[in-house]
Amino acid sequence: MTTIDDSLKSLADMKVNERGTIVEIRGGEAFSRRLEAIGMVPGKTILKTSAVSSRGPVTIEIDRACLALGYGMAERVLVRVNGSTR
Amino acid sequence: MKILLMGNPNVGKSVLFSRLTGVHVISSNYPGTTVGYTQGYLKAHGRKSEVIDVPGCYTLDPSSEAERVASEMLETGDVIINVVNATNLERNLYLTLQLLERNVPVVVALNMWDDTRHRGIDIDPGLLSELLGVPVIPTAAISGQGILELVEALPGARPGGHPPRTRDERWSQVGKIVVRVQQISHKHHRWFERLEDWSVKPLSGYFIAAVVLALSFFVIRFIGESLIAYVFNPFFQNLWLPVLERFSAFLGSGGVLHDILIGRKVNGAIDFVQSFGVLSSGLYVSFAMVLPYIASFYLVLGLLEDSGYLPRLAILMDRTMHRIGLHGFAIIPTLLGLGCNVPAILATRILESKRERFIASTLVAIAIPCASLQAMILGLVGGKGAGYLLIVYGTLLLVWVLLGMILNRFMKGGSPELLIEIPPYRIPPWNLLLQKLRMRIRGFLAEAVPFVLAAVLVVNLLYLTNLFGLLARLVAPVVTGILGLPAEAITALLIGFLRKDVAMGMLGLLQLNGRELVVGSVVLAMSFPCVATFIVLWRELGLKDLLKSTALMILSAVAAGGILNAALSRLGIE
Repeated sequence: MTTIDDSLKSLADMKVNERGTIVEIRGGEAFSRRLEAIGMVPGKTILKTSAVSSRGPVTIEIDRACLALGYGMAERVLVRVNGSTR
Repeated sequence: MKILLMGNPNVGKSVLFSRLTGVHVISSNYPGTTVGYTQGYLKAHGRKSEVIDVPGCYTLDPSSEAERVASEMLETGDVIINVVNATNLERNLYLTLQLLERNVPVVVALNMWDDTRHRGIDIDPGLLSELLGVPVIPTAAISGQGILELVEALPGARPGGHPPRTRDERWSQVGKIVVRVQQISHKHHRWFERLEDWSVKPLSGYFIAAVVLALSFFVIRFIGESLIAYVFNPFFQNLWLPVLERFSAFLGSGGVLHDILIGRKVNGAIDFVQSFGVLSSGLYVSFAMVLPYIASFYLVLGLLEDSGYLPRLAILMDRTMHRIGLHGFAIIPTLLGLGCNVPAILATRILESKRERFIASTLVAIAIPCASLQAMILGLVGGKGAGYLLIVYGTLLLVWVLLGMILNRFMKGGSPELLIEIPPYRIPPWNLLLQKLRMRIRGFLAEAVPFVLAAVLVVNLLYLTNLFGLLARLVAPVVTGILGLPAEAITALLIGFLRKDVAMGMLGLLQLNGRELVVGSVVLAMSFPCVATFIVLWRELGLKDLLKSTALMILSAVAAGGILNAALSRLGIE
């Protein structure tokens, strides 16, 4: 991820327990639609709850629902980190 | 009148459905796995209405198979009950708004109402109803709260009359509504929610998975064995045996009809395992050897499904499954295959690509022994010692992994990624669990038992007509040469195409040593699926891929059996 602003990173790079706002979903129309259907749209606040092994799926909390997405997908979700719990 | 239940996945739609319709349900849809649907009837307002449980979907834009089915079914409904998860209005209302743009009467069931308070969620249903323009009824399907009110509200359903919106407009409308009707206060983590976290965290997750799977295995064996020892065996020995003995005497203790129905006597007595008649071994294998394990397996599987554990297992297994060209969710059809390969192969429909479906169903057909076969393997191979059982299961596991890796390496394309919602843990309602179990047992009785009886009949007829001799001569070099099995085992392996459990029972008759029994079980499990599985494979994969899959089965079965035979002989294990 090449960016000057270091609060901006991919969901894959976020640390567990970090909270942030989805800024952008990179990828084709079909991909962003799939994420949108389950409530992942830019502007939503998410909390990264766990990461299963290195390059394993990432789980997040969004609107009080829990989602799991593959690592490659998480790499394409750009998040502005704005805090951390615990 | 036709009532459609529509909503996102994991909103308790199926529970609400069984609350509305009672036990007379036509077919069970497998939660989240097929796009089949369930149909039942509701008697209310002086008439009988058809109720359909539409597959869960997030939108009406046909971007997936389930959504396309849902969108098509929408056209046929007279009233829609839109089931909404009250603990997650933000996401659920998107579909609601889409429904309200269509010209069809809608009632909203604000389900999981009982879950909102302790999660710190406060929703005003009256205001929500006002803003949406249709009735909104708070419900808690699991406890039954609000179901009567929901039924009462049905005549008041009306089209939302919303103007068509774009996607962005819809999301912003959802935002506006949620801000007005919902208040969130600070929530405390419950004990359950902590467990939810733990079960997908790397270290604790694998530990919990190991405990859950080991526990499942022991519970399945414990219930299965107890049912055999205390229910079915006594029934057959004390009640059925005297009846058969009288019938045997009536038939004159011999002759063609006697051999087919009662079987050959062992030391002058009927032996339920060895006599091999339709009414003796046929019934005994179905009810006293296989049915107890089917019942206990599906009870435990139902618990795992309805408690919400399976998606978590899928997440943990994701990395491993990628190595064999699948993603974590493919663990669900695989586990189902341990019950019966037929629903397992149907369940591979949840996987997105043709490549994944081919790999998953071929692996299920080859390396996942169904409960019927396992029951017989446990009984017969287990009798030789636990070590032999370990070799059989270890070999099948190794084949599953290796063959998966080979297919992943040589088939074009990659494996898509996992994207699932993780439902919260729930304590499954017992009545629903038992209802599902009853449906699955009924399925086994209706579909498998006649096949077992027919297979035993065919075995006897083939023996009588000596057709086996001809068939056996064809495959004898492979079976005796490469696999090191006696020529008589050929018959059993061929019968495997009809029923694996019956075939295993035939191997049991041959006085095989440990090595032969192990090789025989592995080859039987891998070589050819039973005819029911074969037909489903054909339907799901098409003829070309079926032939490829079959070729893989025969090749890998002979290879694995040959290697196993050579290795065990070298090690001197008999």
